Amino acid sequence: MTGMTDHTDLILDGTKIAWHQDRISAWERGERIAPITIDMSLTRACNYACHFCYAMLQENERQVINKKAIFEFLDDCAEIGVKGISFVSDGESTISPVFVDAVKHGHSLGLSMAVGTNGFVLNRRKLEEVLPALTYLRINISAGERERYAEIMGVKEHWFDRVCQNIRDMAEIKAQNNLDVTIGMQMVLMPEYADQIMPLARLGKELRPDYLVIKHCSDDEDGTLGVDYAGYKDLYDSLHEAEALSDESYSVQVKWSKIAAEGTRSYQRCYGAPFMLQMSGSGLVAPCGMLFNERYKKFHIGNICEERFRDIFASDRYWEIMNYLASPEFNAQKMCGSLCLQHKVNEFLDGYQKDEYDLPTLPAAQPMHLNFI
Amino acid sequence: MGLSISAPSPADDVIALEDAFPEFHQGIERVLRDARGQGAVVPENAVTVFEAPSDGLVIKVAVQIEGELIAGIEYDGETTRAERAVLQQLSAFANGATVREFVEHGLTFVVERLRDPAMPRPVDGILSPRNAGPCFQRPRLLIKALRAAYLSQHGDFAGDNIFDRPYSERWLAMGNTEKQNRLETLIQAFREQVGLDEAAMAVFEIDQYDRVVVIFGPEVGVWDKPTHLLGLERWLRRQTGERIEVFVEIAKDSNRIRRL
Ligand code: SF4
Repeated sequence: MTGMTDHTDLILDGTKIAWHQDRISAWERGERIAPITIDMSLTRACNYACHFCYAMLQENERQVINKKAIFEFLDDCAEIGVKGISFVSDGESTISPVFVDAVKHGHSLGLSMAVGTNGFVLNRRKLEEVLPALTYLRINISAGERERYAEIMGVKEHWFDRVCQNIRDMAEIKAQNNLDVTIGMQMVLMPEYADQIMPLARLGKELRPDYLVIKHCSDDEDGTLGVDYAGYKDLYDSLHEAEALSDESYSVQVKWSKIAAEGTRSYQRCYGAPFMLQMSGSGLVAPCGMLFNERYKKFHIGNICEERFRDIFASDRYWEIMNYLASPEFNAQKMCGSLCLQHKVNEFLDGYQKDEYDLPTLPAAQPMHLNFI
Repeated sequence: MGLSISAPSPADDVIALEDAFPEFHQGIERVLRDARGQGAVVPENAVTVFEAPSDGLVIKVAVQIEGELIAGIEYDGETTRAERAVLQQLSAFANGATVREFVEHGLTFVVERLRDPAMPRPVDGILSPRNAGPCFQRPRLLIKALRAAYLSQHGDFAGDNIFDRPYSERWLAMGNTEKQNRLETLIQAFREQVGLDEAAMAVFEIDQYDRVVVIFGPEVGVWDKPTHLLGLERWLRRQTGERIEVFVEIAKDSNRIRRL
């Protein structure tokens, strides 16, 4: 399963790793490759209390990422060959005082920058500053009605109105300035939010982001959040109905491959982390978000608040941990939570490593957001 | 289960392990020593035998169709000594494995099994059968050919692609107290090796899955903890031969509004 799709515009349910064959070849030769994408947060804090939030399970020793730390980090990323940085991970980056500067600095270095946010503090003034520097901005919004929004996202009802206004502003600023940025909405779907699939799809049609993506909810290996993966099957009709609301400039897409996987993985080794690294809003560098919690301290590599990222990347410890994940010492089916961010990348690399297929010949047209694999 | 190579390598004693990186020499010699005297192994009553040739080597795998379990393996063809050790270890891995587990994971296990853990890995980045040295390349292509041969006859592998062999039968048969005592003795030995007392690294829990949870005292530096944890885990695995996992206690979310 290569995870490649025919959709060369905007791939939301697949991986773009196959477009980075130079890095795959270097990995195959045993060279130390820089991550193509780093997903991180600028803080562990959040002004929301979403019911489905995986960040609740990611607590680790907190440090504050200040301007010096994030600027040096971005400088190091540009130097070693990282291509895209997304501020998503385990905190609400937009409430960090360094958010706007970090986005602009990363962009000025030639890095592709992206943000996943609840959108609450992104007023017009901030949006005008950051949107020109972003490849995509994605709003987490798991309900299409005020009351349910407040319940699911753990906030007051009127916050819903403010977020909707901010999304309208985003679409307007983008159109007025003819910006390249992609504006998205994302629903993290638990089976018990089924009643919100259609209201949200309709809300998106009215607010006019570029897309609405509906994805599964991740859980840890002990099922702490209690996600009922078998329950997704009953929602297929609603999900198809939501997709049918797509038009020429608004696309509703369901991450079918992850929803249909019912939380299971088809691979045992994890090869994806060196290509797609995750970092916590505490500054912690660990292979992935599922390993942020103190419980997984053995996988913790360093902290950008204490040490330059280029040195962490060059350390033997970094490669020791990455080798551990790629070796028989590790079994992702037993030792990881359900379907991580790296899942599609892992699937692709696993099939390649097992000689199920060769690297594919690529279509001439490149997909959008290539640096976010 | 074992190995038969019908055309042995020429002049075994004089040929150095030129096609193997030094990090594998010790492991290869160990395997070659252990392998002496083994004979042909494909059982005559095996239900189906799959055969695949590649680059001067042929692999024959006898499979009990029920459960796709491998019943025996034979190789034909001239090999170097290092290649022979690789094939020998592959056969050892096949013991109890399904065809899918064998073709998908066998070589990765062999690389790890033959590697000298006391030496740095032979590559700076991620070690895999593709970059572990020339002696792994013909076996890799042979496995690839076997996968193709099997799938061309069967269409797909049976069952779920889920493999896990964390504990041996012997370990599972041990009582809880016996296992805990054994682990605690080993943990104490580890503490002595690295110069920690019990207050610095105490056992918090050994859970029902034999996962070891430790807690550190304040005297242990933040960035010494990962090293000790991984060190302890490797020590326990080496001493017991079981895939013991080591953790520290879970940290609760400290955001004010967000709480489980
Ligand atoms: S497979 Fe496991 S270790 Fe690898 S990125 Fe996913 S959750 Fe992390």
